[in-house]
Amino acid sequence: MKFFALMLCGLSLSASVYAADNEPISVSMVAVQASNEGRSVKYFGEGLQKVRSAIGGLDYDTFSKLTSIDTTIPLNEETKFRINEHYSLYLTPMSIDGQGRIRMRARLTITSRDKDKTVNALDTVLTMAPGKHLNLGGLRLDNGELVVVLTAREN
Amino acid sequence: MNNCSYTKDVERWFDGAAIDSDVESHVADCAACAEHLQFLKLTREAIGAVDVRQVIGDAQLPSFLAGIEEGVHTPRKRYTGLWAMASAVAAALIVTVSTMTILSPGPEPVGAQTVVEEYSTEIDGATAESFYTGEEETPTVWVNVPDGDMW
Repeated sequence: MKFFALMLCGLSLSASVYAADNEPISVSMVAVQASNEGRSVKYFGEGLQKVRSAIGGLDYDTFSKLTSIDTTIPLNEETKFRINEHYSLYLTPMSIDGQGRIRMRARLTITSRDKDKTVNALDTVLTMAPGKHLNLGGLRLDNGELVVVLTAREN
Repeated sequence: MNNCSYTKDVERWFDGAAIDSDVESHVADCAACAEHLQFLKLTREAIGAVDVRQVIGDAQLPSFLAGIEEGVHTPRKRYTGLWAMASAVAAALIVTVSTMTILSPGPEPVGAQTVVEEYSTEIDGATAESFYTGEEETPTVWVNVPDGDMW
């Protein structure tokens, strides 16, 4: 009886550890158009409250949200996030370290107007602190530039 | 302690038993036996001074002895079950708390910072850089695109 109880306890612990190692990653992505319109006070459009602290230090006076998503993505698989008809973001979480930091590859791609060519406008490998923001940006977008704010956390 | 060989005879003589030896003359010569005899007398007087003496009658004796027997041989009550349960609960609590502590991600460790390992761009003429911005020192990877149409 005691043997079975111990075995059950061990199996439960193993299952918990296995589940923790294989849970997907929670990702938040907010795509922002940043521009300078001659404002004396920085303007943040609707839906940017969560990322205001991340983008507020950039040298722009107007920030407008293009799109955003909160989702979970699997480890070791590339997941695509469409930003608009030209830009897409691809995320590939590769590992999670002992401090909960997520090592991932992030690619911002741009597709030409005639849609016959796509290149990596920005390709980076980084280790993200859980729950902290990261900005990817600088690419032209209409009268401003694209800024993508990423947040990731182990689920 | 009186080690005199007459001690038993003195006690029997004190209780009124018939003694062959001349105990009385011995007590007069033996200081130890005289002292012992005095002790017996005082003890008898003290017992005699007790107002109510409990007497165990013959009919009560079996019950009296049974009570003593029970007191001597009945095992002391042990709280084995209670202690075992308390130990099991304590052990379960320790295991639960330890497991939660191990599996819980907990607060963000001090020094857990985002590290940009590498970055590049495939846009012709563009350069990429990494810096920190804002009061929160948000890590930023930036592409500097040259003037003109990217495509």
